[in-house]
Amino acid sequence: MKSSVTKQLLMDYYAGRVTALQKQLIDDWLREPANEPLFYACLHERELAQVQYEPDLSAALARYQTFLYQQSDRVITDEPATPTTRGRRWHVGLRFWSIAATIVLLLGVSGWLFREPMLYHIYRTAYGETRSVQLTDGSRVILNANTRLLVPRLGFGAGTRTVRVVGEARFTIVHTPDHQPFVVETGPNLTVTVLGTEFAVFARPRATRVVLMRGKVAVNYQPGGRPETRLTLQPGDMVTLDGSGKLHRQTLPKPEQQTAWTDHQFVFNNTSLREVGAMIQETFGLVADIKGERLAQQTLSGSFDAHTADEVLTAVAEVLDIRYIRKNNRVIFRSKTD
Amino acid sequence: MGVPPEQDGPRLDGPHTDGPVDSERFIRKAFETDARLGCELLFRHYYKPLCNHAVRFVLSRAVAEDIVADVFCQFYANGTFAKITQFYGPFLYKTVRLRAYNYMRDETKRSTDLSAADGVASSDAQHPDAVTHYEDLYHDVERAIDTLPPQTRRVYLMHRFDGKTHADIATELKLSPRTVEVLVRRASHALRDLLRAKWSLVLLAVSSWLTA
Repeated sequence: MKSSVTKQLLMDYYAGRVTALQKQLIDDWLREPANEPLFYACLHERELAQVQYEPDLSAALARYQTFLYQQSDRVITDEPATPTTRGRRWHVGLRFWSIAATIVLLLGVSGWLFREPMLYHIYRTAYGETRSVQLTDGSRVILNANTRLLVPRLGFGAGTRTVRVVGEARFTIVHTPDHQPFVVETGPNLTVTVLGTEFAVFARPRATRVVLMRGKVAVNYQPGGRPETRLTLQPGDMVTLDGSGKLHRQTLPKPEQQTAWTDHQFVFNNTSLREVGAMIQETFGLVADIKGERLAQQTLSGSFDAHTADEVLTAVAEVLDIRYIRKNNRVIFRSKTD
Repeated sequence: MGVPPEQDGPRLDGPHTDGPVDSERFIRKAFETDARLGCELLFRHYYKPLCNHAVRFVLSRAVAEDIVADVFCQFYANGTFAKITQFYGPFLYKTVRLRAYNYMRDETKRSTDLSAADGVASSDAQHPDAVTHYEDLYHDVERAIDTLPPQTRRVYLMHRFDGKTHADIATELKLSPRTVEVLVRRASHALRDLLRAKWSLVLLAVSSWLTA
């Protein structure tokens, strides 16, 4: 009986092309646990071959990584209690580093293929995409949609660690034994020097913001020709550089709301439809057209999960009880009474 | 550590050795040094095919992706990875299949009268005792969808699979929202009737879930 279940039979079975008797045969065969791996290996092979739709792996992976690194360390407890020999540890270490080196190499090669300046590794996200990047020093950066992170090819980690961000990103910085500062440049005038661990940067034409979650960072601002301003942030502080070139500092009751996007959450807090429109443009590349000034000034509050522009638009329209029409990369908001 | 099945006999006709079983060796090594790295590699390897599998049952990409992501989160948070001595794939597939099956049962509980739903939930539907019940379920769903007229099927899948609203579908297909509503309802009813004739075991689950 055992020998009559073949891979071909299993494939026919997944496709629904077997008789009742053959089905019974498979059921009996599977009562033997040793046969399980083959059953699921063939199922896996079939799902790889017969793709029904293409899930967004990179966004899902970024969410999963965020989840993993929010959890405490897990140690495998079932390992045999025999002491690890030095030799084995070395091998494991070597293997780990070769994996890490391969990943870094692959990222490097892809960065080069996408060209731009030869001086930087460029990590970029498309509209609607988020991505988690691990830097060579172990620091982790989660990029929001429509964002570029530039990491120097040469000299990163030798003396200083300087990166540049255009868009929006959340940083979790690893402290090095030799206390190397980590510097984020957001443009010609504003830099963030990291003295601690976790913070988020928003650097888009509309505004520049820095929010500190944990640890300590300093924000240096030097408008053309004028003396430099330096602010040191405490956790929960947010610094905003407005359009007229002024720095504002405020303390947020819930700083984590500023990085809700890492979980695909959209948080609105008395946010005007005009700001929502700007956000939709930054995140999804849609141009928002709001009919009427009164409509643009309507505000909404609340948070919800959304992965696509349509999910955001539907929720916003529902909350404000308005209508929206989406045409290619344009969205028109109008009130229902128009 | 058991013997990998591909060495078990000559009955395998495909080049199975470079399939998922082989790549798990690499992942298992990663788990030895760093559980998070192991989980990430597993996720990269299995996320897409698992979503593709789950969607056969639940017919909604959002639901399928939620189920799969949740299985991976628990896999790390509960330390399940440490208890697996042989292959990760079978565990992940089994868990996702059970979750997809139960998702439909829970939908039943929410929307049908309790006395009827209890009979289903407490007996076979909760833990199908035979693995073949899983395939039976999604084959029937597939066949039922197949019998719908093309336009109805298209509208229904946009609604159920992509999670689009009636209004969105209406705009996209240049139909009136009312037409879309009618087509979705008609599809739900047609499917329920077809499945009722064929599928008595999880009848309640399927019918209420399709009309949801």
